[in-house]
Amino acid sequence: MDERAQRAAQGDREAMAQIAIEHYSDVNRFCARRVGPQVAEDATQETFLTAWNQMKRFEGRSALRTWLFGIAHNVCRNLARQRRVDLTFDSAWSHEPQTSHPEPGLVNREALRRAMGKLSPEHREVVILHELEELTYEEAAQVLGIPVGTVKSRLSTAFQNLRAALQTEAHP
Amino acid sequence: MKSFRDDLKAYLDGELPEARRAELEVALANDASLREEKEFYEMLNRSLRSHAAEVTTGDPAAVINQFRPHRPWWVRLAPFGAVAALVLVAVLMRPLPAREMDVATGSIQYTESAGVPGEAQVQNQPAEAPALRGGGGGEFDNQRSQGLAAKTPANSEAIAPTLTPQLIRTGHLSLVVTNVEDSLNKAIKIAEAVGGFSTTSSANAGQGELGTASATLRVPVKQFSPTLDKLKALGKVTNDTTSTEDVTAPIADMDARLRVLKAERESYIQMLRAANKVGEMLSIREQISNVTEEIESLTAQLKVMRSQASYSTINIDLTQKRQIDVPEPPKDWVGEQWTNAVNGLRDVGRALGGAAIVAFVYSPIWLPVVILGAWFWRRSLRK
Repeated sequence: MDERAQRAAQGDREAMAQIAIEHYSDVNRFCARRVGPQVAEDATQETFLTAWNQMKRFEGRSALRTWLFGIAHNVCRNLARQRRVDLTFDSAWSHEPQTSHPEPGLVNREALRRAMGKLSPEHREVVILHELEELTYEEAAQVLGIPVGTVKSRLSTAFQNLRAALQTEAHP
Repeated sequence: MKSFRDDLKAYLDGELPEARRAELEVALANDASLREEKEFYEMLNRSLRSHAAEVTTGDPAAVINQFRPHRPWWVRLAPFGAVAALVLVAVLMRPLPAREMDVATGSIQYTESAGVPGEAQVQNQPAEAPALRGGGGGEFDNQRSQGLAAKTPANSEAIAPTLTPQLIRTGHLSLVVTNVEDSLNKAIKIAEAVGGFSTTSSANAGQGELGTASATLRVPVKQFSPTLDKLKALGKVTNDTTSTEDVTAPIADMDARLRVLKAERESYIQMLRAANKVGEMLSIREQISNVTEEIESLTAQLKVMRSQASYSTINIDLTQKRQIDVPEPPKDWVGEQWTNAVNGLRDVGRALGGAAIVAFVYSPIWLPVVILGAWFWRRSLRK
């Protein structure tokens, strides 16, 4: 178990501050991709406060970062409900203007965004956690609180659906 | 048994067991459509990561500061409090003048109360106070700032406090003059000749009455007595009063308060620079605004008081000298009686009119009673 997490669990504020320094960027980015940058600040703050209050429950069975993501996942879901933020994961995608000719070897961004929009929230969630946050299946399962097998099947289904949606769009 | 397509994504992610992985690789070698799907997934992986938004993370200070060892607000503000306390102590420790009025001579003695009793005494004749020539304000401040140094016996003689009294002198002069307008002009010129001025002046030529005039003159405090003497020479003096108000202590108090307020404002400004919460900043800004308002009000009051102490006020009333004895007009007895009678009749008429109005206004109350009474009376008569 992380030594700082142990100290934080015993009430060491400085240890918790060190944890916040190390994981702030990851947690903030994680939140921003779910609820947008405006709400992400509050979500991040709430995540670390919750972590501080629940640090005694952290048993070290997962990485501290994964545990924080799990808290952030719930915080974002609650904040989105309270503030009526649409969890379409639209914030996860770049809004930079794209050139008319997409990069070779890549799917057109707008087409991909539309295809992602057709996925169910559960399928979108595993795609984001695995592809964007680069979590392993096990870590994604810990964050979502579901079995690893479910992550694996959801991811496979999500990719099959994405492929079908993109092919339909290319050849209607 | 799951199809190879279902495990294709897990294969690409390295999440398949070794045995299943080997089986899938064999299938890939034999199935072109499966290979095509694998390549598509790889492109999808690259596209997802490539098109992901670059998120600019915010400022972690707010989050991190929540967990930094908590210091109570009074510990964080202690340095500012210490500075404010030092300023306050410095102001309070300054020697303030203990005033004693010598009734017999009219002189005022000022003794430095914070020093050794009798160690430094300054005796001043109010009208001759030399420091008042330049307005006295700045000089007064300098003298006050030397107060702490003057406390030690060693340097008390070297820096003997020359505390300047701040006096507001006011004179009232009533004169009977031969020509009111001429005398008024002369009085104003006398004031102007010594560096003074007239704030108000008015003259009344009088219709069959004696002419009068009045003026308010402001003259430098040093010129108060000489000016008064010159004004007395304009005519016959019927009233001459002077009053002196010592505002040394009030000015000193206001000055001290002003210094404390300025120090307080400086502390608040320091606090504002250190504050990092919006609520805290707004609260401090409000405090700064309040203190600034108080400082401005106090500065204006000080300015007025110092101005009054720099220039004395002389109110002068002039009355025309009676030239001819005017005979009293003969009394018209008949006319007077007639007027009295007419006035009496008018008063009676007014009283009756007033009663009629009251009766009319209250008629909704008494009229039904009267009508009802009359009806009963007439009915009883019929019986």
